Amino acid sequence: MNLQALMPNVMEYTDKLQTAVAATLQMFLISGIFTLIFGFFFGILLIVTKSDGIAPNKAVYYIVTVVTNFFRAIPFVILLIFLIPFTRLLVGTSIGVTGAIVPLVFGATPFFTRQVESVLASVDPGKIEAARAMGCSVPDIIFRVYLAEAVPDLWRAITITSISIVGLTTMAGAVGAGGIGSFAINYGQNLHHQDVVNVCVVILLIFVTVLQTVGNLLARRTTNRKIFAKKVTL
Amino acid sequence: MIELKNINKTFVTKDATVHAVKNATLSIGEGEIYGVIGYSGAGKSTLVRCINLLEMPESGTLTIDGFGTVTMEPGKKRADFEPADGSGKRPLTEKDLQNLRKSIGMIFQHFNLLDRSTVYDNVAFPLKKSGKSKEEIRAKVAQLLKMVGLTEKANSYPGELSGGQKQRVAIARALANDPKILLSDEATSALDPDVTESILKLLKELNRKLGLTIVLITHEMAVIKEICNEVAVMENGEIVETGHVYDVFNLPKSDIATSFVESSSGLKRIDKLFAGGSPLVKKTEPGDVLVRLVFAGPCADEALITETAKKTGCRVNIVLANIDLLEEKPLGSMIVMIKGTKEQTAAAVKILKDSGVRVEEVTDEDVRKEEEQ
Repeated sequence: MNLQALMPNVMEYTDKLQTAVAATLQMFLISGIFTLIFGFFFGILLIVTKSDGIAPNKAVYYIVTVVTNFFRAIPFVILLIFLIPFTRLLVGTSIGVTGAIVPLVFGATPFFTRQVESVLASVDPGKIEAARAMGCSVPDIIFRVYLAEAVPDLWRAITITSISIVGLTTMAGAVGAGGIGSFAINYGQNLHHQDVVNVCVVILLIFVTVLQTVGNLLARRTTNRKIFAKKVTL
Repeated sequence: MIELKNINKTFVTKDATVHAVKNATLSIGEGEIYGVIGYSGAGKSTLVRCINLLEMPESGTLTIDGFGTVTMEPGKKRADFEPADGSGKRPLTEKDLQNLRKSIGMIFQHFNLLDRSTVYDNVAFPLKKSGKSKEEIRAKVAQLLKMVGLTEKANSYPGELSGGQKQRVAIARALANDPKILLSDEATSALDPDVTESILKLLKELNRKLGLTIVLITHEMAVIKEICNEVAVMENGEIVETGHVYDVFNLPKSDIATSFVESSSGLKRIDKLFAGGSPLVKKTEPGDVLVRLVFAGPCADEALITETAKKTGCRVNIVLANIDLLEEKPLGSMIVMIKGTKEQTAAAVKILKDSGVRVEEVTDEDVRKEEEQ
């Protein structure tokens, strides 16, 4: 049994498939990085400014909450077209990988923000109080207590979010961003090549499985310990 | 060392306004182990958090030796601060708060260690960013861990330690910045009795060795008995009684203090005897009296009972008895039935009173009254 016989159409479009995989990876990585940055920023902002947070600020909390909820309420496909004018303004184009990154970040950041917020909210308030009692400043408490203690759950949140970004990239593909999503539609669905669709499913499955496995491993290795803890001798 | 004057703190929730601390005034001397006792919800945690200003009172004055005086006036958003260095009155800043808290250690019921940090890193936590070199930090942590007897656990994680060991780590961490004051919030309430004892012993040792002033919250009279010299009793946000531990145990003034003292001495069990109609508390002769005797200080001597019986011809049945050691002084209390003729028992009571024993008649009236309430 050779590959040619098993999936003749895929073999015909190998170069297209390669470009599609590369485009998906590119969208995934770039929008992932921005989502991480913005999600952490807003998630921390929510935790710190909520009414019983370490630096309560009703106005900031309210604004971030409203904006987050707004973007979370819009289905991604609608968000894609809704943001077209803004995307054009920001990056000069609304198509291709570059054009997809803006809506991807807008789609994934609210989701990740809420994840970060709920993970940090589950840090034992006693630890926060102990840090305050030691005279820690607000940034100290954020970085040395909240984030430091929440590492395993943050890895879980990052894993879930990255898997959801993979899903979003394929949707972006449907409206002209390229990548595996558009490859499956244009060369699989539209040309009635079931083998192309099947291969796309397998590739995505492998990708998601790798993400999940690595995420689980990191979460496990960081629970109640640090990966690179140095031993001291007294 | 610590002076609280007219401290008020209320919490406003959706459903109610809780006046957690009402007009509390307290003075804690240097080197004291000061106990604050009360049932849960009495406001003791809030009161103690007003010392390191984890809770900002609405009104009142807080003075800490070496730090200064913080005054909060009702309706004002910011507290005034008059530093101890004499630089004059100014608004209290976030930096001042951090400095105050760094100079006061605190330990908690649930230890509140960082689970992802080793014992070493937990103790080093308050030292990092304090401008000390790595070597200085290492030396300090080594000294602290030695003090609490956990040197060999430096590389362990909190999850690998017992409750008592975790509290020792928390104590080491609390003392990292060489504070003069240690606040203990129910620090032994989650521990077994024998572990509680070893932690209290450690606290007492630190108090003696370092001259550490300790403010200790508890709902257990046994803890107060074990290590405190001074005690404040709280109820519904108010400090209802303060004094030397010995005096409060000997002669509690408030109802709540009496209740704490009696339940800790075990004499409260008399209620059960009354309720069960026990023959131990039944009077059979007209002269019989049931009395509570409190022996304080030098008269805490059991021979007195035998002597009294001999002299008067009474028979004395001990129903319940307890002897405590408070600040190394014995304090005995017992409930006895003195049996004999009216003259005999009256003479017996007189002898006891003359010897400095406090004699109070016990009737089941008290029990009935309590039940009605």
